[in-house]
Amino acid sequence: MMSLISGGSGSGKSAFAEQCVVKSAAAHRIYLATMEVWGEEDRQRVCRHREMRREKGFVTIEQTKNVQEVVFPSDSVLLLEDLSNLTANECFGGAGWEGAFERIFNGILSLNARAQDLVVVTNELFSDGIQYAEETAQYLDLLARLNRALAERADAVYEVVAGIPICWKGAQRELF
Amino acid sequence: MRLIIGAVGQGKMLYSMKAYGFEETERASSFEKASKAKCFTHLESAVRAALKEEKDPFFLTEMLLQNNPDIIILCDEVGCGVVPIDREERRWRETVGRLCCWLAERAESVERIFCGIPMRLK
Repeated sequence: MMSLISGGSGSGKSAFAEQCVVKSAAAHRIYLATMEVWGEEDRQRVCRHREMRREKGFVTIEQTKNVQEVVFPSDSVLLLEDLSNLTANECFGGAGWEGAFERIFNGILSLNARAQDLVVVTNELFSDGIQYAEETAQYLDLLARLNRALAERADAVYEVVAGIPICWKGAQRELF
Repeated sequence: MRLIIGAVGQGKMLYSMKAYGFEETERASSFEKASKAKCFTHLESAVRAALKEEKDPFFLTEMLLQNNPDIIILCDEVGCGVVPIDREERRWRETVGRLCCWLAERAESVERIFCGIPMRLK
């Protein structure tokens, strides 16, 4: 089962995503961290989060691009955090804009095909009314298309607002 | 009149074409052309243009609804960012929000689209 979870900064989407993972019946909990680590502050942050998740039984895998390369047991639940980072890494630092949509979309579908459950965290960056310069606008458009395409494939779609999950798709609403 | 709102890139256009059965050629994105169209897209841009020309978007909308009471209006949600420093930007953003409130009160239905998925608010 694939779940897509979105929300603004500080909305509580990560905590809700972890709850979804903990509710999965899969034997292994794998956290797929997509953030590029820059400098000491990032490193300390990552260490702290890694420690917090270890207590919840997560194994952390860092994969900033090409998520299809990640190997894991089939009875796993994966938490990919997050799509906005992965998309930025792929476009600005990876193989670039050419074919980026298919590359990222297929990478995630590959994870979904091999995992028991997949939870994808994405980001709400689309309602600030700002007209961005070309490259940023292109990035936002790509992320919005990925969000839509994944929502279509997902079994459940949630928007988290003030820590409250709004269920846009799926019958799992009563569980939370 | 129906109002369909949602953030940029959420698939409002594709959804409304499918849900209400109209073609791309039947949509307009200015107040003038919208009087004969099935669908008025990017109301937020039309509001920007109207403000620039010192026209009242509420008056233009009221005229539009008199001429075309069954129109489907699509508008981007633009109000969830830091308050813009630029006065005109602030004015635009707030006008779009208030116009959506005004339209929502009069609309037969209001839907919000998120990742291509509709939620009926009214």
